[in-house]
Parts: sequence; structure tokens; C-alpha cells
Amino acid sequence: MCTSDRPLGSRGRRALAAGTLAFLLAAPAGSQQLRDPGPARRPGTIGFQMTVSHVSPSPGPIDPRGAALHRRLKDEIRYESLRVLEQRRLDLAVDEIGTMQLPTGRRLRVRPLDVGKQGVLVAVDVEGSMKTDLRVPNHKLVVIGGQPYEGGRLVITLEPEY
Amino acid sequence: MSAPRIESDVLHAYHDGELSPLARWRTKRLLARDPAARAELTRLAELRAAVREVASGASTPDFWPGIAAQLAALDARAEGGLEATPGQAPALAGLHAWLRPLAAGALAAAVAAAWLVFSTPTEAVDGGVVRWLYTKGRPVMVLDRPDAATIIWMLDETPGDQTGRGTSGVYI
Repeated sequence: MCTSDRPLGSRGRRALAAGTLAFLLAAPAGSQQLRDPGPARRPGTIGFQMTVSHVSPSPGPIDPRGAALHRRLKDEIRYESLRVLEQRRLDLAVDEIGTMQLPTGRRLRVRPLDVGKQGVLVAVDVEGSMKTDLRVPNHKLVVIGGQPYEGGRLVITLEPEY
Repeated sequence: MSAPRIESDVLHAYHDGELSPLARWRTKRLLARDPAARAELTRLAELRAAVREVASGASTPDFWPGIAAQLAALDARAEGGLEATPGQAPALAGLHAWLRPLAAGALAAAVAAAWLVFSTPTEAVDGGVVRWLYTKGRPVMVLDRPDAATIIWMLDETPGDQTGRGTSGVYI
């Protein structure tokens, strides 16, 4: 006969411990999913993590979302504050053109041309400003900056993932 | 008895107004009686008119000063960012209509040549991330290192506005 007030046996304690462990392991994964709920990349495409930021000579905070950019940029460019304006991922097939509207009103076009051992060959066009072809290894950060905007400069970052 | 004929050289001299008054009066009387001579005189007149028309059409206007003025303006604009002045615009107006496309073509070729000279794209030579870069002639700083982020930074066009990149980085 089984009663509800019976103390836990060794099997019960093991089950409780396993459940607790499973909860503790699952919790960080769940919180990670909450932080980054982005959809999976389309098959056959190259993901480009794009960020548009603004750096200014005026004193101010460093946007936590731009901490990685700040670490790479602070020794090369003199600025006092950094603000992330937009973050987006572009999933593009080869020869497909992705477009972003910049705060300056100009457009940014990204077009992967080829994927090889040395990285993805991508054409980048900052409308009215510059055009470039880049061979970017996987997860390498490319920073394109210098366009004047609101007393500072725009900074565009591009990081391929494939 | 047949009427005396007018010699060819006399007829030409008459046509050209080179005869004396007496010889001119005598030739005129002979022409009144000689249809062939009158016909020859008419052909001479037509020939002279045709030569005069061709001669007047061959006087091609000298359009080089207009083109030279445009080239000088292009050079000044490329060097100093000079805007076109209102007085320069109708430089082609003095040309004949059929010459305007030719002059415009020459100007377009000059503009294309200037564009190529002043906006040559850069080509990567070391196989880095940046393989080709075009900034419309604007100065640009490229930090392309394999172990760090690649940075392409557009600099100001105004001389002296940038302090250059030193140990403390580029000022914005």
C-alpha cells in the first residue's frame, strides 16, 4: 500500500536530484533563447550580422551592445561615446542583394559573390560614399566608418556567418 | 556669210569684266547674235556661283577657343572644386549646330579622362580582406590585419582637418 506521507526513499532522492540538475542545466539555455530568439538561417545562404553605430567626440556612454566593437575600435579611432543604432542579420544567397537604410538617408547594399576557402567574397556599396569588394573569413569583423552624422561618425560593421 | 565667233578667251575675259569698254561693247553686240556664246556665258556664270558657294561653305569656324575654355574650367574644377560660372555655359552657342555634338563629345571625353585620373580605384596586393576599394577620390584609412578586425575609415577631404593616425588614433 502506498501512502502520500511516506518519506522519500533512496530512489526518490535520486529522482529529485536528477530533476534539479536537469532544471539547472536547462535554465541557462532557456535564458539564452530568450536573449537571442533570431530565426535560423535560411539554407544555402550566408548570414551577415550587420550593425550601424554612431561614435561621437562628445562625452557619453558606451552602448553595451557595442562593447565588442568598442574593444576593437578604441585604439584606432578617438571618440568619447558609442551608440548602437541598428542591428540586423541579412541572410543572403550568392548574388542576392541585401539593403539597409542608413540614418543618413543613404542605402547600404551587401552582395555576396562567392564563397571559398579564404572566406566570402562580398561587394559592399555605401551609397554615395564608397564601394568595396571584401574577402571576409567566417566570423571576421569588418568595420566601415567615417561617414559624418550628427556631429560624429557612422560606423557600420559586417560579420559573415556561414 | 557667217557671223564672226567670239573666242573663248575673249568670252572669259568678258565674263570676268576684264575687257576694255570698246572690246566689251563689241563682244556684247556679237553675243546678241550668237546663241552658243550666250549659252557658254551662262555656264560660266553658273560655274562661278557654284565655286562661290563651295568657297563660302568651306570657311570652317575655329571652335577650339570654346573647347579650350571648357577644358580650362574642368582643370580648375578638378583642382579647386570650382563651380561652373554662368558665363561659361553658353560657350558652345557660338558653334554651328552640326559642330555642337562634336564639341560635346570632345568635352565628354575630357571629363571621362579627368574622372579616370582623379578617381582611380585601389587594388589590394597582399590578399587581405580588402580586395578592391573605391571612394571617389576621398582619402581613406585601411587597417587590414589578419588577427584583428578590418577597419576601413573614410577621412575628411579638408586638408588639416585630420591629425592623422598616431599612437592615439584618428580624431573624428
